Amino acid sequence: MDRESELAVIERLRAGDVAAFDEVYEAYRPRVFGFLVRLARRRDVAEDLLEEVWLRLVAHARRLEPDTRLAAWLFTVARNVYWSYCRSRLLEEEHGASLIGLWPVPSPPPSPFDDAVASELDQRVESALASLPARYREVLWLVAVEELTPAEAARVCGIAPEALRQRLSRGRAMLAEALRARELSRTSRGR
Amino acid sequence: MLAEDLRDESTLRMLKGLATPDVDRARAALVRERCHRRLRRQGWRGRLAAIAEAPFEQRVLEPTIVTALCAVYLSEVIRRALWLFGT
Repeated sequence: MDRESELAVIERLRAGDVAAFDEVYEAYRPRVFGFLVRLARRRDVAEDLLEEVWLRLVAHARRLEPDTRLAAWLFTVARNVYWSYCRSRLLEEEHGASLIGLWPVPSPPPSPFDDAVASELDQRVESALASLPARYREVLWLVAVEELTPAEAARVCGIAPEALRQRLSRGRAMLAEALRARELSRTSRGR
Repeated sequence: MLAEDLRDESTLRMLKGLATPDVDRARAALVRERCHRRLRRQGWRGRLAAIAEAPFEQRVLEPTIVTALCAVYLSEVIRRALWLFGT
């Protein structure tokens, strides 16, 4: 969606236009879901969180600023919804720390992409990404995949741009290391 | 450092090449419908709110005048009906 179309859709959304909602829903649903599923590492959780994101858009539609950047708005809400979910789970579960990625997860849970992954390389990349703590997954995804500028990604994550750059740098290094480990594991199994 | 940067760039490119999953179609349709219902409800509430915030003439005066005219018309109809069919 180009910026001009986006501004027009936002105006219609502010007026409560259902067709405008559908345009935004179709354009951003896979992207926001892809982000959430990499954060949550569980498809069922990501689907529930995604629904919450859309309900919040509907609730705030009339209060959107005319110059809102939809991608940044939606990813901010998606991220907030995810971290709220983590905090609520922390209160419910004994092992909540593993959910919010403060400590490395000993073995990553099964990938929700097993059916969709096209190649072994993609599987390794997904697995490597899933092994990272959530705060690195989110910045890597927002900058590398969603192509948000570092400033936009910093606003989405609620951190200063310098902190985002450090987190991005660290995340890139961790991802590369995780990929290398998986590549070594693959080649040693092949021998 | 440069070699590491190049390696990291290719790593990030691999992320970009990952599949984009989507929600189950039935679930997507359910969520869409739920959002549509809320949007429509908001539209109805929005119109009510607009009436509540309307100026005095629109909110009170106009309905009063219309009601009075309807009452006059109805009483005239009843009066004529009584004259035609009544005493």
